[in-house]
Amino acid sequence: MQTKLELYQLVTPLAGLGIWERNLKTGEAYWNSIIRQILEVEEGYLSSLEDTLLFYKNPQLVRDLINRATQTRNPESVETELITAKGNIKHVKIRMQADYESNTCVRMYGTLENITHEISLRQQAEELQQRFFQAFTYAPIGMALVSLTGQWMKVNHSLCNLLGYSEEELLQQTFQVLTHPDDLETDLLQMQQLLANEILTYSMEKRYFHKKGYIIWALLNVSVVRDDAGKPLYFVSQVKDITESRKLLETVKQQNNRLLNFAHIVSHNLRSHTGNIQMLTDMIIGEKDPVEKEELTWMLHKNAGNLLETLSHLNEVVKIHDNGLSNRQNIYLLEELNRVLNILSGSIMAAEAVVNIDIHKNTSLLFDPAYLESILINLVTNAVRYRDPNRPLVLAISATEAVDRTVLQIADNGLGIDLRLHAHKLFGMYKTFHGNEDARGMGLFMVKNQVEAMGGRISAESEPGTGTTFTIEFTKIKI
Amino acid sequence: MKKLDIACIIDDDQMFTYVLSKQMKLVDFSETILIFKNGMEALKYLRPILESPEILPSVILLDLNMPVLDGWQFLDEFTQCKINKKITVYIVSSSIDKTDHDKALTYKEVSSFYIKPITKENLIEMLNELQAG
Repeated sequence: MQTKLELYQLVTPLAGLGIWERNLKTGEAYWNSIIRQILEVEEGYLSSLEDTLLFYKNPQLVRDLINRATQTRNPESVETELITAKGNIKHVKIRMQADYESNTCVRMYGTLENITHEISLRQQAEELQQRFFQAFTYAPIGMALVSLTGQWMKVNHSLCNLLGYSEEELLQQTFQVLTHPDDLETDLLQMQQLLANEILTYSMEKRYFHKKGYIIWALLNVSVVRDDAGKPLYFVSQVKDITESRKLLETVKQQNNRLLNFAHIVSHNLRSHTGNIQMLTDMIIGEKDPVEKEELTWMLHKNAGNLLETLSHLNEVVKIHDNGLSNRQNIYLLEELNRVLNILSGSIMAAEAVVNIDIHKNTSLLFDPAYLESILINLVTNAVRYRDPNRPLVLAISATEAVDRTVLQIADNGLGIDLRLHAHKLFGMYKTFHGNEDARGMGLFMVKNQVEAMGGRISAESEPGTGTTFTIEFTKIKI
Repeated sequence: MKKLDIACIIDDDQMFTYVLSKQMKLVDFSETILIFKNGMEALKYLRPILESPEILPSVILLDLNMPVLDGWQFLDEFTQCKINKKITVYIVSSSIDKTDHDKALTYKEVSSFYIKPITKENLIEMLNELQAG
């Protein structure tokens, strides 16, 4: 067993702890070897208190410490910088205790510790923290710290902009409230997995509600921050607005669908005619009777005409989507409607129809004028043609304006269409519904193509015996 | 080859029904040919005579794309009816859409799917199948 003193002398260098003592009565002083290592002075070096203070960058700080220690008689400490004999700067921590004998301070002793490494670690950590919060605050994507229950704890500017709330408003909310109900379960499920340490992070495409009520598509990335014991503290969420790319994807999908639909139309309609031609030519070749042969040839001729007609219909559709965007003009809806009603006044009067219009004279559309004319003519003509013979036709035509769209409604009290049977093909090519001999099944098909080529949407509600309402949404576009 | 009693064509393409019925006569397909230009007209005719098998067709050649009531809607209605006669349904359509062909397989009443045009050989094939069955 070593003596206490020996143990003490062995352990203090081990701890890197400088030990010093000054007897204020005798002027004697003691430094252990660590003090000299810290000061980078040679073995045996020992300086007076005043000279020692000169090692410090700010000697006053140390003087203050001495005063404090002598006044309080408690252990006191300070962190400061010193310059060694070799000119190196070191961070140190000085601890000191004043020793009293009958109200006179007779002795001071304490420790000196090199904390340069700790300080630089601390500074690094502070800098990292600083950098994280800089990145957090000014990130171009939405970022948030979210509590384990979903409360927003800290949100950045981008997230506030994205969701339309101020920071204060957002901090009152939970993410659950702002999440589209259809996406909530997936989100919460992955959050549980994250908490259970089954996954390290998750990302998903989800919908939030903007303060104004509309939907925002976002790409969400979530990770969890844990304490040293591994206990989850909070979530770090990154929210990237992908509404635009979603919209583009939607447009591409729609275009693809239209293209596929068109390919089917082409294939189906051309096959019908060519099939007939094939059958007719086979029969003509096999037919002996010249009268029969003549009749078959005449039918072949008629069929060729039908084929050409179909081709020209298909050509019209291609043209719609070809020059769709180039020919937009500002059109006053009411003015255009009155012009169309004037063109159709003959059949409207013959049907003794009543037309009620509720459109503001300033309501205007950016639309291809020829398409708008075609759309109005087709829908009004349909209403007149398929009116209920048992009651006078009443047509209600109205328009309402929202921020991003103008909605036109054309409602009649005519025969109606059974949408349970026909909803999927109402706007299809060559689809007719009332068995009229002169119906070509082109009108609504063209209307739909014209509306969609301009970025709009058309839908219908109908009840047999009650009437039909067509609703067209014209998207307002910025140009 | 014994010819069938009554055959029925449901198709809105009048050119096609004209030529097809001519071909059917050439191969001696059936005693009688009924032609309807959509599913609704066919149903209106067939429904009142369901109890009289002797005047019901034994084969129906059914188009898919038709106005008013199309081929599928006709099938949905017709397969609900109680009928005392074996009636074979062939779909005869221009559709090469796989979804149509797959859907046809889900109806046990549908024997085969023929893509237009219909040749004499197709008709003879149908006849053989019908007489074997």
